[in-house]
Amino acid sequence: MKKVNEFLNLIRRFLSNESISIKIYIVWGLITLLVFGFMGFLPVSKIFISNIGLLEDLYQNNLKLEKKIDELKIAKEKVELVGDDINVLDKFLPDEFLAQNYLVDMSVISGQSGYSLDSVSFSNETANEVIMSIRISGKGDLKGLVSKLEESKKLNEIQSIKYNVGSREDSLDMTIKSFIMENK
Amino acid sequence: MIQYQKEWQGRLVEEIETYSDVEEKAKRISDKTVAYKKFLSNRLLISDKVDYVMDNLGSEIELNSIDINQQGFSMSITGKDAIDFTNLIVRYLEGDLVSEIIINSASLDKSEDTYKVTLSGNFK
Repeated sequence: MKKVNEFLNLIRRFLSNESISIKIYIVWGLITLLVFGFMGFLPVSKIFISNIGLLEDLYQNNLKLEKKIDELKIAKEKVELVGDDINVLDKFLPDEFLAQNYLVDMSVISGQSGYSLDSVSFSNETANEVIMSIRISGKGDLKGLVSKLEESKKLNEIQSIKYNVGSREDSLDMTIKSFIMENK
Repeated sequence: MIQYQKEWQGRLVEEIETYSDVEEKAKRISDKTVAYKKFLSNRLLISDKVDYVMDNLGSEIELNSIDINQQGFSMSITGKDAIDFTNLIVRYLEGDLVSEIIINSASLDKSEDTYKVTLSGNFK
């Protein structure tokens, strides 16, 4: 214990000399700066450099997103502008097969051409096609009927026509393919 | 700085989400327009062929029946003079729609003095 006290007194005396203690503090400070400052600076600088890349990516992505928003704004204006035309497009190319709509169309077109619709049968062969077999009769205009069917709002393709001329009325069997666009 | 960019991105993503219905609607219109154009270009029309066959019949020939499709036609017709059938065949072949005409049968009804002919034709 006595030796310890002697040692501590020695240090106190040693440090009481200001010129020596200043030198020690400066060296100590420099060592601290070297160990904690420089050695710590390396990993911190690495993180900082990698973050610059990340920052740049984020910035570029945000610019792209802003551009996308501008495009969406323009698209929204255009969609609002053609909003009513979507319904017209639906009439030309229905989303689903509704037999009653086809029945009405066929009946109207037959009537306009001087015939009367006797029967219609449907078969939904593929997702995009409806096959109609229609039988009509009367004394009408065959060419007009065919034109009207092909010019109608719905996309019709006449596949076959069987036409028989009768003394009182003619009979007509037709197979028609109509295109639809079913939502999958 | 990074936090600021992330917050900015969050705000932009939120804004984009408000346009989700626009994107869906635009896609629907686009898909439908593309499909319509595709169906329209793939569709086979028959009206020109029907017009051609009917218009060339002439007043001398009487039509009894006709079957017509995209590939060709077959018909049953009657007429008073044999030359009318020859003229009909010539008229059909002179145009640019029919490639060949085949006479399937021909008969003379002496009681009415009319010829009954069945013929078929192929479209080009």
